[in-house]
Amino acid sequence: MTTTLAPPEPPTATTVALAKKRQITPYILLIPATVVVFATLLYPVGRMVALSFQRGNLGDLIARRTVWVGLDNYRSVLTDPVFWTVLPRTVGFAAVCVALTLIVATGCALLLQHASRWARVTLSVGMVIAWATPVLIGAVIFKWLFDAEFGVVNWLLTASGLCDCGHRSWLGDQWSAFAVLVSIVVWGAVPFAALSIYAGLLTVPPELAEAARVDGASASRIFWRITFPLLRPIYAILIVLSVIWDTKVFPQVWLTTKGGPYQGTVMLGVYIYQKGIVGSQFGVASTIAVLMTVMLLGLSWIYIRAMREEAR
Amino acid sequence: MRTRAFVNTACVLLAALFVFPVYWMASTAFKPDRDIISDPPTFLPWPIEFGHFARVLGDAAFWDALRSSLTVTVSVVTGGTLVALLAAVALARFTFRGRTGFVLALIIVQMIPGEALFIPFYLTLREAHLLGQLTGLMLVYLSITVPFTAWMLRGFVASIPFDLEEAAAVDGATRWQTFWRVLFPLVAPGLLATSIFSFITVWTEFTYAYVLINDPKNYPLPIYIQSFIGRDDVDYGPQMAVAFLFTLPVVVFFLVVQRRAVAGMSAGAVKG
Repeated sequence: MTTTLAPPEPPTATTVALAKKRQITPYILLIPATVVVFATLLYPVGRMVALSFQRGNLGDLIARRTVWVGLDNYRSVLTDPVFWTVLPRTVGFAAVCVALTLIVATGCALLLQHASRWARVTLSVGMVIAWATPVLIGAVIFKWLFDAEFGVVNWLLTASGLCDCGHRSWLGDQWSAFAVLVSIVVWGAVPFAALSIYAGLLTVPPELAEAARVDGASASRIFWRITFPLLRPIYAILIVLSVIWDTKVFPQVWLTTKGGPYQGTVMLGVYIYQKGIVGSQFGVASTIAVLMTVMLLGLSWIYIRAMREEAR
Repeated sequence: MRTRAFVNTACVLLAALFVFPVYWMASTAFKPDRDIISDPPTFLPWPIEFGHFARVLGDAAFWDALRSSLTVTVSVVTGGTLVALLAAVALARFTFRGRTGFVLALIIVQMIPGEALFIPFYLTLREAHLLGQLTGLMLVYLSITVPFTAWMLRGFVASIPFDLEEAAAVDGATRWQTFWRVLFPLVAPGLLATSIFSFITVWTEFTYAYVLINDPKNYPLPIYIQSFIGRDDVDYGPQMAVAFLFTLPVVVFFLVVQRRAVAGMSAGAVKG
């Protein structure tokens, strides 16, 4: 079920012969894609990098009155105390989401493996439904579930005696707002991870676990010593992908807390939005965007390497 | 076996946990306002009420949003898939200088985080007088869908044995005939799968739409759904009704490609 970023196939005799005959065709075929990627992607990226060395608000940009300021923006971002709260918050949020996602997903995958057929189908269908739900809809639904006045979560918690949450305002407090955001992300992310891990579990030869069991190994020992090492590449890919996804949570935040209460749930994407679009400080916003890109590209690099490893 | 019974119970409980939010969306959409705010909550939307749907369908802004979403999605999926197919054929069927470089560029480009890019997109579209226009949004979406579609289609084309096209060429078929009569039918399932991935990506995109479309007449559905969130209050009944209508095609399409979804997610994923 997993995919691989296989290196391009080595040219065969036919393709080589073809290449000599129709040297120009592939380039013509690639023109539209190249135009799209350059015009709509590489040019804006170039703009972003250039802007990170400039200063100017929207008016300056329109009148082309921006000033080159060297590394000033980087200096001011890296000494900005708000940036140093938003960055660790984003990283910490992603870390919590990724850890919870993988733990729950592993549990789900092991359950799928040991369940009766009907139970396995039930859980799979449930997960696919959650997985198919668009991120923005998930956020909108959770906002409603956790609504202070009429939310069903408060009612369920109170009715079951778990807490006296009559009109608890989950989004009104920084930490409980975080809990809501984490649950949105984890709910949406577990299915993909669990089904990937389950697919991996199916490839582990049952004889290995059987032999270990005969030798008296406990279930947890079997998991950590046999199953997990065999699934390590899958986990590597899942971790990197999840970190990348869980760093980009603008929709989830914007549709629930808008970064509040008191800026308490602002993460990098929202911060860029506030600085640039709202605050018209395009140089500073671009600088943060460049830093974010560099961090995520670094991670992606690890991801590609992991994919290559798995392909081998 | 007691363990088996325990495992099965856990599966059912977890399944309920995954489904419940979606169920709650549907159930809210189908019950009258007084049941939405009742205490204790009404768990079964019975008798089923279509009032919220009627309200949404009677709202001109909904139809504007639907038209915007359909325009953007259909154009981007068709245009993007076509552009990507050409690139995929070039990459899978020809050897040429720069091929490896292009493939690498396709991967790297997908890794650029979208959340970092809305600032330059905003400015570039503003200069091109496309800010707030659907055309601008379409161009931005092409930049997301073309790389991953080309990447996935390249795999599909490469998996089709070249002998077939060669045989057709030997039999005197023109290049265009070979493509249209031999390659295209074989790659059609791949085209369907990649189109569905593009559809889901574009249909459900929120961040760019929110930042780049500032004219309410052009709001696509995700922004229309967001617009129910007021300053202090949310009109949950109609919001859940739109959310339900919005999600329905996504779930149907998703089920079609679900088998390929794990592969697709990782291939197109890193850009979100």
